[in-house]
Amino acid sequence: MTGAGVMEVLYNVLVVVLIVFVATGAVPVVTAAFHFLMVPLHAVINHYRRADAHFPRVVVLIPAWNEAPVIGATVDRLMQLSYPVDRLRVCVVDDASTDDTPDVLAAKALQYPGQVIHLRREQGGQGKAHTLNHGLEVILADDWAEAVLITDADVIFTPESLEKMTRHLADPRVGAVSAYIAEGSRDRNYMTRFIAIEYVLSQLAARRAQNVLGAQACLAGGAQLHSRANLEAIGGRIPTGTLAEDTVATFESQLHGRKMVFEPRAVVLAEEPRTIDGLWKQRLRWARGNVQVSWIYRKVWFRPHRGHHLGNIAFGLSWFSIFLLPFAMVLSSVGLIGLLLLQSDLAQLVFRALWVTASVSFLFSMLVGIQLDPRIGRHSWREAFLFPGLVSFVVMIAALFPGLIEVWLPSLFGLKLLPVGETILTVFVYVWISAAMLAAWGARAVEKTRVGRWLSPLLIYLVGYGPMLCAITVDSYIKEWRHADATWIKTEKVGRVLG
Amino acid sequence: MNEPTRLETEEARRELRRDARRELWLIPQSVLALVIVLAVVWVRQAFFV
Repeated sequence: MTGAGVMEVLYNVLVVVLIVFVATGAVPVVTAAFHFLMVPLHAVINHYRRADAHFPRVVVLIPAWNEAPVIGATVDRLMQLSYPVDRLRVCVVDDASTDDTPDVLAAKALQYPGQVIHLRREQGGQGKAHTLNHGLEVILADDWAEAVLITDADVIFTPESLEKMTRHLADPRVGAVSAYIAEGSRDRNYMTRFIAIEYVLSQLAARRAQNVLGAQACLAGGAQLHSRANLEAIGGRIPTGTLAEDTVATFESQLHGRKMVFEPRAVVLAEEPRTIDGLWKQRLRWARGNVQVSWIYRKVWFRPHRGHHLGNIAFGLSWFSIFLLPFAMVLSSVGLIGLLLLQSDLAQLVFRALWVTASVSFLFSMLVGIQLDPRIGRHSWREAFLFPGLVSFVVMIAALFPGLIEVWLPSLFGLKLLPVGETILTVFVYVWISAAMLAAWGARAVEKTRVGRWLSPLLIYLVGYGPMLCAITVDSYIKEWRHADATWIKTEKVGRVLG
Repeated sequence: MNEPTRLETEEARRELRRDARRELWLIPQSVLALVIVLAVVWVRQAFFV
């Protein structure tokens, strides 16, 4: 082969590699769309047929550290649940609180004698899993409890939520049941509206799809009901040593052959962060936990197994399409810029294919999502459509309707895009896929400044909540790579949840 | 400790059947979403390509 021939082959290989790079950007959206296509199947493939009226003796286990503003109301609401009163106890493990939490709990123990148990750790701060294990040790030492509901101090259970969860434990194959945690702040802001829609997508949609596929990625930390048998099977304690104790407990339960069920009709309300910084700290903990889980269970992924569904291809794709989403975004940008330099027409074609696929998948996912919880859909539909950010939303419109943004819109003002402007715009759009993550980082930095109060929400609407979550995932890679301090930082809660 | 009453059990079973029926709404909801997406794609193909 001549030198020119070798160069031509190398050139063609490079073009194919760049197309593959761009295509990786489509994998997460196509995987997400696949999951949303699973959602209607939950109408027929669900656990209701094997569920039955079932009222086991339940201990509600609440870890608490300086929860005086919220814990009293939480205990009161739990005692008002629509559940046989002699089959329900509340056990609060006070993790060496320094506020009035012990006094509030002492008063509640007097108010509900025999039903509210107050345990105290004199040395706290080791994290949630250690606090829970202190309580589990006491609860499982006695044979009264047939099931344990693990929740958080600020979570509000709707009256019928517990009985909707326990009915699935009538099937002995079920080890645990998770409820739908909805964002429930009275005074919503832009951040809580984004979180509300995220929870609809990640729980009401994704966890229904996981019910259909037979494997759950994670039980909601604030509302997970375990059977006694399941807890005993995983050693009677929540695994410690990671930042994702909920996910590890979920995986361990499934690896021990037990089924996890998501119950979409058991609704609980929780207070969520209201600022970028608050959300960043909370999600960084979750994302770092996911990095740890991905490594711990490295021998489980993509290896189908008779005893559980965690090794299914679809489940693995779902997990890694979120975990590796930032890589996919960067590869996509690199591929597009590379193609632009080599063959600009091909770059445009591939870009349109990517964004049309992404737009159609996104539109379908959001249209399904906003119908799943009408209350959230009504107040957060704008955040649903601006989830990827206003800039990306405009790019989607441009990809779906060629000429609308770049020709028709300027023509309304008698303008026409010059070739140089067109090139700048093209490069910006190709780079934006990954630059959005950097912009989200910037929004966090801006929040701490004097203008942050009004500018950072504006930036998040422009940049997108989704890219911000990707930026947090990148931060988690960095923190785990550097073995950064993994001290448990509690998300501040002040009792804003709807009564 | 009292066993759950027959009334409680019956009510729980009724609620279970009701929730199972409510899940059927997922089908028309998804069909509606699909119809809207197909309409958008049709507009694109008809007027913009």
